[in-house]
Amino acid sequence: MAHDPVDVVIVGSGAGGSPVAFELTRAGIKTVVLEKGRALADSDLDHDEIKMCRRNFFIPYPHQEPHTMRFGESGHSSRTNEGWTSNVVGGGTVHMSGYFMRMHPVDFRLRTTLGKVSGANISDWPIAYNDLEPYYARAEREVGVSGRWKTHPFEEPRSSDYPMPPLNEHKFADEIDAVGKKLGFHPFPTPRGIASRSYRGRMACMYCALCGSYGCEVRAKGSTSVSLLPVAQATGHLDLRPECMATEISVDASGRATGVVYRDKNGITQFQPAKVVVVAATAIESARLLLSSKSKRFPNGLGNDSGLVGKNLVFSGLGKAHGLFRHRGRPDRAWMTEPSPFIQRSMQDFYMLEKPVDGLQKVGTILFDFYHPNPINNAERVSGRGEGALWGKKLKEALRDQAAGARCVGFETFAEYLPTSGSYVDLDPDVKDRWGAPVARITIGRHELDLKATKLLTDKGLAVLNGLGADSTSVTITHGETKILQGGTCRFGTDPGSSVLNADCRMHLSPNVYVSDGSFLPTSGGVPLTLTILANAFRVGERLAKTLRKG
Amino acid sequence: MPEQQDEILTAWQKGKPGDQHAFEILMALTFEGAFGDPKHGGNTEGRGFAMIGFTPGPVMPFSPPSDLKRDIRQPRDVRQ
Repeated sequence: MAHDPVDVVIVGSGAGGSPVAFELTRAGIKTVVLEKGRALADSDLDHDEIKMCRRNFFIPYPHQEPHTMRFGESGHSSRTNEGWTSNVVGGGTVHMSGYFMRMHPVDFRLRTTLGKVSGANISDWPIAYNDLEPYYARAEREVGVSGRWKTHPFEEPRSSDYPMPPLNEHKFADEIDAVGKKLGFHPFPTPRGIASRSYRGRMACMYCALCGSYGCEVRAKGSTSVSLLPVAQATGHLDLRPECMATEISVDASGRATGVVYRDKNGITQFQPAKVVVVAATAIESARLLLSSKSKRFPNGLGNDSGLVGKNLVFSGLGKAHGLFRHRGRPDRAWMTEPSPFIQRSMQDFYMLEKPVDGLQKVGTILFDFYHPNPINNAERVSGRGEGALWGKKLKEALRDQAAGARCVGFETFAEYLPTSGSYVDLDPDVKDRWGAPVARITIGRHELDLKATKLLTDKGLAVLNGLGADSTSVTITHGETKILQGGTCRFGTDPGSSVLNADCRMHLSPNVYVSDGSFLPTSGGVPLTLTILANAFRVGERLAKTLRKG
Repeated sequence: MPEQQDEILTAWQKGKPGDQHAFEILMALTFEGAFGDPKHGGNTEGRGFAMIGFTPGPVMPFSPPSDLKRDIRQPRDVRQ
């Protein structure tokens, strides 16, 4: 079935797609958004850990719609649900934790700053931090970010304060500040995409602390489904179509896109003609869609003459650890029993080292907070794994002991994850999804510096936990990557020989196809990527709206 | 018998990879039963939550931070 032509069709309603829809519809441009996932009601977003975190509520099962993943080209490739962000209206912003930090000016010119790094395809961005700054500020205002500026010497330059003060914090925050001072570090309140007071018709956070892996039923979390899409819908120019999965972008003989082929919720194939196509389905799925869009003009996938679509995949380098603080029988630690659920402290002292240490100079962010309150996950933490795992009476005693007598404080690290020729997305030659389409195959080839970066941050984080007097510490992830924070695959740049998109995130080879999710990122920075994706999508949307109104 | 159960579980936990995998699945499902949402049939009256110190609803901080006091004292229409 074919529809009437529209101005723009956007694939995806998350951090990459929604700001574009927001800008276009407010400029009076008729826009269709195709979203693979369904639209959720607030009442769907309950606190059921089994449903939200351990089944396929947000992401598909590997036997139905897998990704395949392998470590190195010779590694065994297996089905996984890694690399999906939530398949719902609002995308990954629905189940995010909302750690909304900006990248720093150095992230935009990393190649120039670091020089040649062997084994890494680092490239400067075609825009500077100052070009993106106004859009960071806009994203913070529209989505609603709570934080406090001028709190540490490594802060990026800002034109304005955060629209809201930081969330309430536990006394642990004061202690981390004190320990940080002693160690020469500079902890600061973590900026969050969460409303600390009622904001633009959305309620303030009610401190359930189930942010990551959950949706926010009071709309305090600034998911695009509650912050941007309702505004776009109110213009009357947005046609949001949930449960519609784009399967191909059609192009004419010259390589111009004519529209998007998609499968609707009844499994019927439809075609939406459009003047402009914007792809924003996450770095991995956008690459899959482009690579699947084969035509006479583009036999290797849309805009892929250079073979660069899917290449230079980056994530956020992840390390994770926690410390246990016993307060039972310790009157000096009575303050630890305060129930406030957030600590809200981060450190960027090691964002950029003054001098390289063992070849490492660009590192990242450490983020402290209480261990996620998920009860099943906590039981697994207390039990441990493998042959030493506790169970039965011993486990019950340990659980009761920790619940009544200890707090668990953890940290995550977000390190630069260098783009390499070994990390990329392509179409799996064997595995198909439930509809028979080739799935995205993720190949991971980490750079050796990623491990060093994560190790450095983990060591510094552990120094803080030990400085706080942790009774025991445990490092759970030493060199991982946060696969819900994806970038690369269609990096932007000025040279069509080394990039897929131009500075406006338009494809070099197809003049009416834009990619507005994290795919544009040439480098991953040392912060969670979400705010940068939102800010850039506002920039892309604004420029596209201007172009369309002129033309 | 509980002793026999312990024996079998220990044998699985320290056994061949297949046995260890079965043990892990058993543990995961037990945790889901004991600490999952009571609507699924386990965790009667939230006793598992109590054991692990989990509050399924909002957790009220001790005192509102100074920045937020004004908002709390003068409730605003959330639609503004």
